[in-house]
Amino acid sequence: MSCETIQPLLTSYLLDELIPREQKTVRAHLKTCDRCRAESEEIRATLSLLDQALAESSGAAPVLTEDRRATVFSSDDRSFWKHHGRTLQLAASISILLGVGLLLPKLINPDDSGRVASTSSMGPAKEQAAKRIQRARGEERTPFIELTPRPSPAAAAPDTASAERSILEKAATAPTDGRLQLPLTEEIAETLVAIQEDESFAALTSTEGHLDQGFSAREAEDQVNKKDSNDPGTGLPDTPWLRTATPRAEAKQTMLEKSGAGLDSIQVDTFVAYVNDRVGDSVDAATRVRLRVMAAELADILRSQQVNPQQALGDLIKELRHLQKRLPDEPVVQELLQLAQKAQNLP
Amino acid sequence: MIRTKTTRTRQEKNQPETFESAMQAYESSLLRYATRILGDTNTAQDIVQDTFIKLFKAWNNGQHPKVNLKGWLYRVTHNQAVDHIRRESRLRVLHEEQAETLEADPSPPSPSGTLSRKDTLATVLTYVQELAEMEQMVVLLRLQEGMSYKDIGNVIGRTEGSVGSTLHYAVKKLAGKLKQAGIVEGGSA
Repeated sequence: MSCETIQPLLTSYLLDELIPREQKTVRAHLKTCDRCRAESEEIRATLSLLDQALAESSGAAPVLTEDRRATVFSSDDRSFWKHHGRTLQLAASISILLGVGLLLPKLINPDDSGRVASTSSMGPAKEQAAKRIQRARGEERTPFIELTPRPSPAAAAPDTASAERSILEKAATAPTDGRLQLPLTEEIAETLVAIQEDESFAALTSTEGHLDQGFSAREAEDQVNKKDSNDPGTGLPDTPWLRTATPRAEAKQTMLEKSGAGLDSIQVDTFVAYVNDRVGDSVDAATRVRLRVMAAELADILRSQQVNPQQALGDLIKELRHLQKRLPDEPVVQELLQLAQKAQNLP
Repeated sequence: MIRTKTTRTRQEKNQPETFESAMQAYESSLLRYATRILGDTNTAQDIVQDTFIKLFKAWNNGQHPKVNLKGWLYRVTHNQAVDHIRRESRLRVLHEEQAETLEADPSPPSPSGTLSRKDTLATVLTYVQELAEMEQMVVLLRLQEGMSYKDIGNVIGRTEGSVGSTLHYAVKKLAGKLKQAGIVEGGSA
């Protein structure tokens, strides 16, 4: 081969990137050609310097900053809905229930003339809700809750109206201290706590009527927190636990100990904080973040907030086993795995 | 035309099983690569973060690359870095700055060739940054990241032959400058 053919191959030859036959050809040529050998030496020296310079300047392996990692792991929209969808759904329901509860004493107690209390001081959304309640009390059987598509009047009539009346009658016959007996279950309570602590949710509900229920959850929550002695009819039972964020110290309370008593009482934030606190220093930041996400997923499953818990548990256990192989000495991985397996055996 | 080995399939078989292991495996090298191209650690962090966001979403949808994940990650990082460079005209500014620095600094190699090792390697890196965009990337992907011509071709959208010749002419260009600076001795022929 000529020098013009060989020379463009020299870098690849020195990097051992040529196929064996060409490698051999170049080697043979260099043995006989001083010019190409000199060129080859020049390239070899340059490659050597490049190697040293690039290696030297690399230093310690760089990693993404913690906040950027967190951004990565929270980047998938589906993850947001996966973790918050149930909360939002419950919040929407609560906003309706609370909305009804807050307004009913005002609206349902007739004044002297037998007419429903004036709604002039209400905003358009509330006024609309009040009209709905009026309709529900009377003969007109309009579904009150519009979370689902409105059924046809014929199909909707008897049962819906009956259920609505039941709620309304219950509200109307509330004790005279004005405290409304709404079904504030533990689940709803937890959700309200989550709402208080969840800034993303606050942002979502910051626009009035965002949830299209007449009352935003935030508004309802404000009503819960509001102490208005002049308007005893709008008060709800005093619920300090609604306004108290889960103490950080509670994170230390191991959920594993609780798990035998009632897995469904697990609190996502507490559990995630617990896991975060327990993860050893040797665990890298990416895995630490993933463990937190897994803890939240597991908590969701345990709170029966997954559509297909067995599938979700299966996926989680698979990933945890993989992590366990990589981090055999990490107790949190072991604990999460045990808890997930325990949950899998629950009915 | 340069024909090169195409037998590097081991890495394709060793695909990370989870997103976390993928992140752990490639995070540092992507950051190094992006930092070198961009000359700015913060921007490199942003770009690598965006790369992993893309991967995370793809992974959650089950649409992540099942083979040659490494090539995919570098390609995404590379494209974003190139976009950034073009958008910010960073390369032009960088070259102008470097040209000014070189002109302002009258101390390149002393006649006796007594540059310290540190200065020598710093000069080499300066020359790398002066290479054309594509040449610089090929040099970094091959010599810093140790990627095969085939993988580099996948990243930059060129054939293996084109990668080989781009690299060769980049190295030749560097050799010329280093020789001129007295860092590399001229051929004895």
